[in-house]
Amino acid sequence: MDVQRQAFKEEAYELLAELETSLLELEETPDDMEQIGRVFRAMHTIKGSGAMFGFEDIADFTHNVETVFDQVRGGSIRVTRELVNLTLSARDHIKDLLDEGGGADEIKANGIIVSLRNLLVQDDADEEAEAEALPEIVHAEPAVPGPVVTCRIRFRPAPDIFASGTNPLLLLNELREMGECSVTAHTEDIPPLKDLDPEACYIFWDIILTTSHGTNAIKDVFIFVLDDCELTIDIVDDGERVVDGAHPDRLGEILVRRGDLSDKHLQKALESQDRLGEILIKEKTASRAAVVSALAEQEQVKKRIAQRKETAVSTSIRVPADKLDQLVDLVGELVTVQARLSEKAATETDADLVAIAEEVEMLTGGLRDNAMSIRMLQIGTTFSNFKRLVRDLSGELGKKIELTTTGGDTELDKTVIERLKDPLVHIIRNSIDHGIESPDVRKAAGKPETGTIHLKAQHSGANVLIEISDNGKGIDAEVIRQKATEKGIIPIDADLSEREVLNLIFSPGFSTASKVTDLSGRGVGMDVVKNSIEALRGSIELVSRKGEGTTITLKLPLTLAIIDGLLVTIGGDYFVLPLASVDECVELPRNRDEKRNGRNILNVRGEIVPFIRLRKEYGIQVDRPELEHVVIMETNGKRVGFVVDHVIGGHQTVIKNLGSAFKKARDISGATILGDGTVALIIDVNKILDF
Amino acid sequence: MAKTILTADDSASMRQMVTFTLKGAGYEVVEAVDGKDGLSMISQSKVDMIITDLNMPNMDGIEMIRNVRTMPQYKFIPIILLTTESQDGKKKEGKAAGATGWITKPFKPEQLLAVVKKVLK
Amino acid sequence: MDLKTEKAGNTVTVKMGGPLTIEHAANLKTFMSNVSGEAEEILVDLDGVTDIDLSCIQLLCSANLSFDKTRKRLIRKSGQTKVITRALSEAGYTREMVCQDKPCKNCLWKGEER
Repeated sequence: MDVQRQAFKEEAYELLAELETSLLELEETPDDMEQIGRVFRAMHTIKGSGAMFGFEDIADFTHNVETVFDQVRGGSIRVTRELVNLTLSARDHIKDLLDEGGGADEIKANGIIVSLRNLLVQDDADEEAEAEALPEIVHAEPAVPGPVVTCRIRFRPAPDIFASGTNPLLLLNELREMGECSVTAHTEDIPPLKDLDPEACYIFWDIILTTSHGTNAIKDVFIFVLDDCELTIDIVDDGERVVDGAHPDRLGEILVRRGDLSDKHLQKALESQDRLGEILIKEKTASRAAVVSALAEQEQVKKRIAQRKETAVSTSIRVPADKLDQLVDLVGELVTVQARLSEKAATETDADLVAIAEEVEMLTGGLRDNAMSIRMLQIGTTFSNFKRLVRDLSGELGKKIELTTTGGDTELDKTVIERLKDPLVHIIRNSIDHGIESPDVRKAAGKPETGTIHLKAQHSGANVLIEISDNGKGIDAEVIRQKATEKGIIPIDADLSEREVLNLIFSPGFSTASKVTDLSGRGVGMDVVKNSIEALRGSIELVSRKGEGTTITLKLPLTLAIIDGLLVTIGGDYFVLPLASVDECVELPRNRDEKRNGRNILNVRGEIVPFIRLRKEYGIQVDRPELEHVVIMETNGKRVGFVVDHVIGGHQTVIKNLGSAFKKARDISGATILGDGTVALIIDVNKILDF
Repeated sequence: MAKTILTADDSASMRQMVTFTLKGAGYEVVEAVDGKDGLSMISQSKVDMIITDLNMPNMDGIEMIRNVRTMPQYKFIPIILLTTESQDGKKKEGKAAGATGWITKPFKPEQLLAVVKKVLK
Repeated sequence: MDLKTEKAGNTVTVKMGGPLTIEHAANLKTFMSNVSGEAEEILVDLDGVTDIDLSCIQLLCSANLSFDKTRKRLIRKSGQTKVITRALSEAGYTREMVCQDKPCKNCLWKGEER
C-alpha cells in the first residue's frame, strides 16, 4: 500500500496545481462550466482516492469543498470572489495535510468548513440526505460464523436481468459456496418458442441453503438485483430445534407454507392413499419443481437434525461399569471420612477446622450426588427388552397381547435395574400365562381381543414406582383365601381385607409352579419375586379386580449404595433403620411398659400399634434403660414399632455389604461405618416382620 | 484464457490500485483515463468486464455505460460503477443506465475481487 | 456459435458448436423456429458446444415445448458433455425435476447424469 500511497500523493499534488489554475481562471469567467466541472472532479478524486489510501483527514475535509462545487455544478450556487478565495484556502490546507509536516492549521481549517457550509443551499442538501441509501457489500470476508440455519430462498429475477450484465448462475454459485445448498429451477414459466423473448429470463429458483453466514449475507449475494427481483428468505430450521422427537415438516406442510399448494388441494390429495408428491404433480396442483424443492428442504432439515443428534451423542463417553462402581466405593469411603471429620470438628473450638469441615462436607455431598447420578440408567431399555418376550410368549399361547410403556426415561441405579430384570420377567410371564385371556374368551366378555400389559415407571420421592398392569381377568380373592386356608397360611376364621388376601400370594409356600395351573389366578413363585424386590430394599403390592385386571406396583429405592437412615442405639451398639419408612418416634417408659402384662402393643393416640423389641431379636443382653424409645414404621400398609434404647438422629450413609460370612444374617441388609469408626448394622425391617 | 477487464478512471492512483488488485488475481487489465477513452479501447479489442469511475472528464461513467450497452457485442457485459458514499442517487442512475452493480469508495482490494467474482464468470 | 443441419429422411440433425450464450440467443431462436418447419424429428447434437448459459438452456426447453405441442420430436443426441452437465446442474435442473408432465412430456435433458 505504501507504493500506492505515494502514487496518490503525487497525483494529489498534480491535481492541486491544476486546481489553482482552474480557480484563477474561474475568477475571470465565473460561468465556465468546464472549469467548474474540473474543480469538482479534482476535489472528488482527492476525496475518493484519499479515503482509499488511508488519508481520511484529507477525504473528510475535501468532502466539504466537493459538496459546494456539486451545487455550483448544479447551478444553485454562483461562483463569487468569496468562493474562489475560500476554495483557494481549502486547496492550501489540503496541500499542508499532504505534506504531513504538521503545518496544517486546524483552526483555520474549521473556519473554512464553516464558511463553505454557509454557502450551501439547504434544500439541495436535504434532498441529498434523503436519497434512499442503497445497500453496500459490507463483508467481503465472512463475519464471525453464526448459528447454522437452514433457509428457503425463492429467487425470481426480473425478466430483463440479462440486460444488466447479470448472470444469475453466478449468484446461485455464490450461494453454493456458503454451505450445503440444493437449487431447484422452476421451468414452468418458459413459454413456447413463438412467445419467447430469447433475452428474457423465465426461470426462477427455490434454494435450500444450510449456512452459518446469516440472512444478511444471503441478501448480500443478491445486492445488485435486490431492487428488481423477487427474493424471499425464510428460515426453515433455526439450528436449535430440540434434538429429541424433532422431525422435519411433512411434504404437504412445506408446500402449503410456501404457498405452492392450497390447503384445500392438500386435504383432497391426502384423501387418496398414493404418494403425495406423485398425486400433486399428476393433478397439477403443484409443479414438479415445487415438490422436488420441498423434498430437498425436507431432506436437508432431516440431515441437520440427524447431525445435531450425532453431536449430542458424541459428547458422551463410554466407561467400563466397574470403574464407576469403584468410583462410588471411593466416594463412599470419602463420605465416611468426611463424617468423622465433621464429628471431630464439632467437638473442637478451632474455628478454622470447623470452617474446613463444613466446606469438605459440602463438596463431598456434591461429589456423592454426582457419582450416584453417573450410575443412573434409564429403565426404557429394559422395558423394550420385554417387547420380544411378550411377542414370543403370546404367540405360543395363541393370545393377542400388546405391551405398552410409559416413563421409560425414569432413571434408576444401574445395579437396581440389573437386579430388577428377573422379577419383572416373572411378573410379566404371569400376566401372559394367567392374566390375559385368550381372544375368544375376551370377546365373549365384551373386551377387545387384544389384551394390554402396561409398564409404567415414575419417580416418587427417593423412590421409583414401577407398575405392571394388565387388563386380563384379574384375581378372585375368594379362591386365594380358600387356597391359603388349605395351605394353613391363614387360620380359617382370619379377618383379612381383600387387599390383605390378595397379597397372600406373595407368602412363601403359597403356591408352587406344578400346582398353580389348576388355580385360577396367578402365584407362580411370587414369594421369590417378593424376596428379590425386598433384597433391593423395595416393596411389592398387588391390586386386582375380578374381570378387569391386575396391577402390581414395585417401590424401589433410587440407589442401593446410599441409605437415608435413622441412627439408633441398643445396648451401646449402633443400628440404622431406613428413614423412608419411619413414621414417628414415641417414648416408652419402663413403668408403663410393666402395666401391659408382657403384651407387645402400644396405644398411640388411640391407635393400637404392635411393637418388636430389637434387643430381643438381636439377643442383646445389656440392661434396658429407664426410658426406651419406639420407632414406628410403616411397611406393607401396617404400622409396627421397633423398641430401641436411644434415637440419635438422621444419618445418610453408605451401605457396605456384610460379605458372604454373614449370609445367614437375613434381617441385616448391610452395615455402615460411623464417623468415629464404629460399625452400625442396617436393619432389614421387612425381614424381621416376616419371621 | 484469462478474462480481460477495462478500468476507466481519471485518477491514476485509483487505476493503479484496481489494476494491481486484478492482475494479482490473474485477470488481464486495460486502463482508460475517461469514458471516451474507455469506449474507444473496448471497440478496438474485446473485453469481458468494465469497471468505471463515475466522475470523469470528457465522458462520465453513466454516459459511458449508456454507450456501451448500445454496442451489440457488449449488450450483456458486466459493468461495475465506482462511486463514493455521497452519491447514492448516482447508483440508481447507473443501474438504470445499465450497470450491473457498484462499489463504493473507499473499498478494500478483497471487496473489489468479491464483486468481480459475483458478476464475471 | 455455429449451427449446421443435415437432413436424412424425416429427421434433421442440428449440430451446434461454440458458445450457446445470450449474445446468440436471438439467432438461436430464429434458427430453431425455422428448423421446426423442416422435419418431423429434429436431433440436436450438442457435442461441439463449448459454453451454454441460462438463456440458451431455457430456449432449448422452449423449443422442446413447442415441438411437443405440434407433435414433433426434439431429441438430444445421446452422449453427455461436461459443459452441458455442468451448466444444467448450476442452473438447478435437478435429476428429479426433469419435466415429464409440465411443460414437456419428453424432457430434453432426461438421462443427463448430474
